[in-house]
Amino acid sequence: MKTSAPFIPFLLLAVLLFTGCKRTDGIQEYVGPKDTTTPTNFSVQGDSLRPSYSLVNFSVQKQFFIASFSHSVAWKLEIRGKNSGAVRLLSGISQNLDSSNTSFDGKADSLAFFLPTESCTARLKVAGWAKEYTCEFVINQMPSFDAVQIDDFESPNDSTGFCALYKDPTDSLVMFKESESTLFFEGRRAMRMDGYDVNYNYWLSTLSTKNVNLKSILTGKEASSVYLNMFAKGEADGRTALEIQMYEDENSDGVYSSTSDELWTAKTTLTGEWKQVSLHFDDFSKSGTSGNSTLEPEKLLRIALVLVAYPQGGYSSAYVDYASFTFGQPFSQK
Amino acid sequence: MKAPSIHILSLPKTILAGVLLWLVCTTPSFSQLRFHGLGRTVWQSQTLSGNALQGDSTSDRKTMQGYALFDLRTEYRFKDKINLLVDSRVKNIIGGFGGVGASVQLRQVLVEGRATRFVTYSLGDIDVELSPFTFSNPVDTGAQVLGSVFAIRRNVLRYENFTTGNARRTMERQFHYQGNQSSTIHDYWAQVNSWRMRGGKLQFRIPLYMDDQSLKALLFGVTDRATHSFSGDFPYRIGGRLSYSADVNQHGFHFFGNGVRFVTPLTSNGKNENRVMSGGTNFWLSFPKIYLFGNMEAGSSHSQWKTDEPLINPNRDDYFLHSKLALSWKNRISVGAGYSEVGPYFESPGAQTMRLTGNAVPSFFSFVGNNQLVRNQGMLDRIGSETIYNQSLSVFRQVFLPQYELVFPYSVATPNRKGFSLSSTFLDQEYQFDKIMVSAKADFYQEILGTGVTDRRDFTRFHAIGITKLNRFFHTRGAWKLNVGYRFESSERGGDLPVDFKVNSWEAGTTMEIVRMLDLMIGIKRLNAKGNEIYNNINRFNEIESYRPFTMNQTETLIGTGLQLHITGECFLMVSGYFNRVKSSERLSTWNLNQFYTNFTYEF
Repeated sequence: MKTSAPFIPFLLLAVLLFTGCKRTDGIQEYVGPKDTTTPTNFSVQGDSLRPSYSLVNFSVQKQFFIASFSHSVAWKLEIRGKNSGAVRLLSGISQNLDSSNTSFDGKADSLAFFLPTESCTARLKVAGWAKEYTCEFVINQMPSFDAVQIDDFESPNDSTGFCALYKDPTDSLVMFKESESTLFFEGRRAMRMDGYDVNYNYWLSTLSTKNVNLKSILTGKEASSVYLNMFAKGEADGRTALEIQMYEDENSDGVYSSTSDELWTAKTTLTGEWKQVSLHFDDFSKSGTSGNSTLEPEKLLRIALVLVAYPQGGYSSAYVDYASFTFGQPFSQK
Repeated sequence: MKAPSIHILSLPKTILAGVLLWLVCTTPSFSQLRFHGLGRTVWQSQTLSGNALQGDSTSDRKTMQGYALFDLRTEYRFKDKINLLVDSRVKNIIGGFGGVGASVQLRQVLVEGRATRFVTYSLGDIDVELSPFTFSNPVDTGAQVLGSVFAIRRNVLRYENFTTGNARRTMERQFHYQGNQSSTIHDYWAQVNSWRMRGGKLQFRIPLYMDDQSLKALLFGVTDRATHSFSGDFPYRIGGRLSYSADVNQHGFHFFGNGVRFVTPLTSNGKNENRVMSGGTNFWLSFPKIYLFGNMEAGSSHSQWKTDEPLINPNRDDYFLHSKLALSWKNRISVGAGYSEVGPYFESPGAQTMRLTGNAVPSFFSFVGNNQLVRNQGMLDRIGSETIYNQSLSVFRQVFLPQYELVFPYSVATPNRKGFSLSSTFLDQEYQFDKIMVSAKADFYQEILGTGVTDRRDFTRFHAIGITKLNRFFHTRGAWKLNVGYRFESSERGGDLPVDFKVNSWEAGTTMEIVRMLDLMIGIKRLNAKGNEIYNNINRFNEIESYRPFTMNQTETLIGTGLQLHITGECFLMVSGYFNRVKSSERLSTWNLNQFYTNFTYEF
């Protein structure tokens, strides 16, 4: 054998190297997910977190937060309303907190709303760093939401929105407060209805809209895109149901008649916790035989909320706040 | 401490043992029956103290353990056609009462022989090895010891875990691989860095009818040893090797190709299928005073995770390459240099499974604290605790302890490494040493891709040992050997998430024959690990899920001293004491462990 023989394997090996080897594509800058743990010599400049406004008017301003880190780190900022318990979470990976990454428009991730005149706490947590940084600010005014408001129940004794009440005359202590300030979910007031169903027909009271031009709100809207939204709360033991009625002026004569127009209803049961009620028009069913059996948004005459002592009569109550229409999706603060 | 119970022999083993007994009873004249064996009695008593037990009203402070065992290795050979081997064990733990703690085990059952002139077969508990990147049981570098007082302890564990003989890969023997007789070099890949598996293999020697050339093939199919029944899904590994070698006039080469497929069911739904292929060559050129040896290997892995759950990379492909060139002068001084690159997604369970598992439970003082958390391993555990050894292949990156194995925790096949190595060895005689031997190796490596960030770690590893026979200098009557060693490892990274972790480890051991057949043994190991590093948290599909930064400042000292009485060449009694001090910033890791140990062993 010639001594050049050992070079034959090198040739074969070179062929193997250049033809047989490949590496998984994908994350090629580094292996694994981005490491956002905090280095041991991490520090926060000034050892503080600051809000851009100590009193913020969300109708014209956005809040943001200011901090500067020694390293680029993963952080979480939790903004919590002291009274409402509303929460907004912000997070990111950066070396600074500023308007570009901590902009806060007053809208919550939680079901609960931030409240006007509410004091809030912002709490900053850096991944892998034990110390937390906090600051406080006060909300002056809340922002507007992407919804057509029917009634926010903030104005006592006004004559628009849900303000026309019909009581069951044979029931006892049927109460209605259009704008109750002791319990609310959005703003500082909510609507309250309660009473004793003593005749065991379950119906306690009906609250209808008044001076709300539903036609102008809903004309041109597809029925399939319309949602009726509100926030509601009942009794803790579940003795409350809320029936939502929509009266359709089928013959366009400006009044509702059970013989010629349509009544559409949907029902929801309430508990002691606030919940969002968002009803799509498909959720309503027609009551009675008159009409063309088609829910036409532009023909809506009025909407009514019916307090029902469901399912056993007796005392029942309901709080309702921030009723609105949205289009395309249920109400969301953001 | 768990109480061992009497093991029920499995049906196939029982049948095999019956066949063997029948053959023994009907032994014809042309067959051979041989018996070998080992008996060992170990008794150890240990105490634990220190901060790890502060406020702890639950854990033991003092325990005693021991066992007596007898291994009988029965070998029945019928011409060259068949060789039956049964290694059976009777064991009784000290403190066992009324049969509790007594056990009968079959350590190995093997049938092997020559099927034809060119084909041999093995069936049963077989040893499997291909190359260090495809299928190899890595040396437990973190438990390397130089003093006999430690080595005897570790060798017991190696015997118990079927890795005896792997010491041939240690630095002391490295010289031989770097360059001498071709037969030794041929053995390089056949060294027993093997995994004891269960299955069968066929070896073919394909006739070339040329004395200076040979063509060989190996095929095997195995499952992990004694960890799975055949009733459900079980892991299996199928592989082989084709090798061609030629050796003429002291020059030659060896060309080989390896392939292995691992199929491992997951505890959750799904399975991992892994394929590793490699090819390479060894070559050697021998001149009167100079010997040149080279080794190259390159290959790829394809790992596929089949599961219902979403994965970042359900299929991962990567490759490795390794090359080494060594030059020997007069077979006394050798220098070598190598380059290695193992891709970040290279997955080779047969090569990357650790011999010692970092988070395994030590066999003495297993738990500490009122919450009974696993006690972190110390150096004494790594040479004296059976339970931290691993006998099954793992498709997952196992937990490693950076203070013991920082740069290559998963052997030379550790993924995401590239760099070069320099090595040198000096012997005072040809092939061997008479008075002194010195060997050193330095590795300079870097991550191929950063881990979690674009910045990459730099790794440095330096390891040197010296062995001297002091009796040659001082002309004492009995043998007197002194071994010293030093290990430095570092991991450094800059950028926003810097890493700076360094390990310094020294050790020395001496064995002196103070009177005929009686050795005095003293050994010391000291380690300091300091800095900050980051653990990768691995999910169930071997993907990095998150990171856990940690800082460590650990100082550890292990002192051992003892006497070894050589009753005969195959029988000894050892009485020794060990003092392991660990002072660490890690939780529940500052403790003192003192142990008294006796070992009576005889072989035949």
